[in-house]
Amino acid sequence: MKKIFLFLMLFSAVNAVAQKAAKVDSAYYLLDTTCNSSYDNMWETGIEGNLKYYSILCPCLAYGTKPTFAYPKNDEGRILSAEKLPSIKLISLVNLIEKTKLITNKKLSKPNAIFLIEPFGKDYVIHKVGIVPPRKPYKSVDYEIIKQN
Amino acid sequence: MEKFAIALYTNGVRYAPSGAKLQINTNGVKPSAWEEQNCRYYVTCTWITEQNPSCSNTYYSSTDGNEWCYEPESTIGGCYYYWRLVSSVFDRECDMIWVPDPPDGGGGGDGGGGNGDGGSNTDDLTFEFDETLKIREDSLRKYYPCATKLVIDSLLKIQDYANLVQPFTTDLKPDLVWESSAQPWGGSGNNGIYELGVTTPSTLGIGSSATISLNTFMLQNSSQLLIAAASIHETMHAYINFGVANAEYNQSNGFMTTGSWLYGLDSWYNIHGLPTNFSNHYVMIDFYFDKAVSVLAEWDHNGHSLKEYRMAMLYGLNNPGTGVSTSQQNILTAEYNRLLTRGDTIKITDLNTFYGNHLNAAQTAKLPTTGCN
Repeated sequence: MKKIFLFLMLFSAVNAVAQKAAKVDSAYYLLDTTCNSSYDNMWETGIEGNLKYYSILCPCLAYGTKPTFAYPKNDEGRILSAEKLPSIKLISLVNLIEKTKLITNKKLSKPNAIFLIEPFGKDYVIHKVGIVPPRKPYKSVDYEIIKQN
Repeated sequence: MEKFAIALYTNGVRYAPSGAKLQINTNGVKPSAWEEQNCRYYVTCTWITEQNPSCSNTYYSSTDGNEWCYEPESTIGGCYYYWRLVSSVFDRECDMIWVPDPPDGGGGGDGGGGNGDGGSNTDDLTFEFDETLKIREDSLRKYYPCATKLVIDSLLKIQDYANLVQPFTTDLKPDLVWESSAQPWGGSGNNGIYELGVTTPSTLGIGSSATISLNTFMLQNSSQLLIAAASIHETMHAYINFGVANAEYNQSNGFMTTGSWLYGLDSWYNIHGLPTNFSNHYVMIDFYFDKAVSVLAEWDHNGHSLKEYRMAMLYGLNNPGTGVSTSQQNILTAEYNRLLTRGDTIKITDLNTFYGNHLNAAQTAKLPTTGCN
């Protein structure tokens, strides 16, 4: 049985800190996989563990890794009405990749947040996503050197 | 008692010790811990208007219980305003979830259950073996059906081993793929290197999947005991990678401020750029060796001695991989040597004899080549 506790004390502490928190630079990208544009076909999406992930098929980050974003698969996101969409300043795929590169290289001084917006019926759904940090490719090394007599 | 290691832990909380970066006190290490999960995000939005001369400058702030700033009504205060967002400050609220080792899910979502008493909770570590487990072993089975039937499938029926592969057992990712390939197998051309297998983490998605490739020379020439030991060893690489991939994602996105010891430990290793093979083998020696030995003995129905199981599981553990410093090699060797002198002492000559007998084993000890389909 899972026991879930609301961590009220931490919440209060975070609230106190939040008064001094820096402004967050938010970036919004409209991902429409039903579209046939070349940009929208550059994405691969799937579920891994408890995360839904979105990868841009471009080896643009450190170690040749692909920019990959994720959010908990049970996160339903927030509905954004079609009327509201034009009021959001969207960024291009190129700028999204560049921003991801800067974030993962720790080149940005301000906190950053990335949101993916996807079609949802007549409206849209918006998710705040995390960035999968680039990892150096690795193979285990499991040998012994046995000298024959 | 203090010993040389990598990070300092107190009750599962990690920190990088200053001045003595290789010192550790493991007395307080807990196998499980509370973690922040299922975090909900809020934003406090502050808007300003100063464009309407008939109205004074006006600020408007709201925390509306979501992470999206909605423009205020344009007629607040009786004037018509054009609002400009000047700040958005994020905040969050999380559930505290008891995460066992191994965890029962990936990052950012559901965690494990438990009683939260901070003590042992072995009930949470249990995992019911299910014949429908989706360990992808087709590639290995095609050429070595007895390796899958007699080794991998038999290991899956052992609780502690099943716990290690549990994250990979759904129809969805992460996957654990088994295959075979030719790898170095002794001789002067290989400088005496005998490699039993290789684990390669996936570079796709979150990176928590892995492929284990067993050496075809081992499958053809070695004892079933050594093949089983190698399979357990490579599975531990895959499991540790699973923990590392999720830990790095969670930590780099601020989803976790505390962590179960394995998550925290491994992410610490990687964040500080320590060689992965070194940290993997260190974790195996310090935290998983006894469990691996008991799995091997249970798989073998105690047909060999405890010393032989320990020697089989020691294979390759003192190998830190490439790119390690002398001090890191010394640290790993010290941990490895500690295992040699624990209980029934294992001498280097014992190891050489054992490996000699099991790498190129007698026919009766090898995997059969028929009767496994």
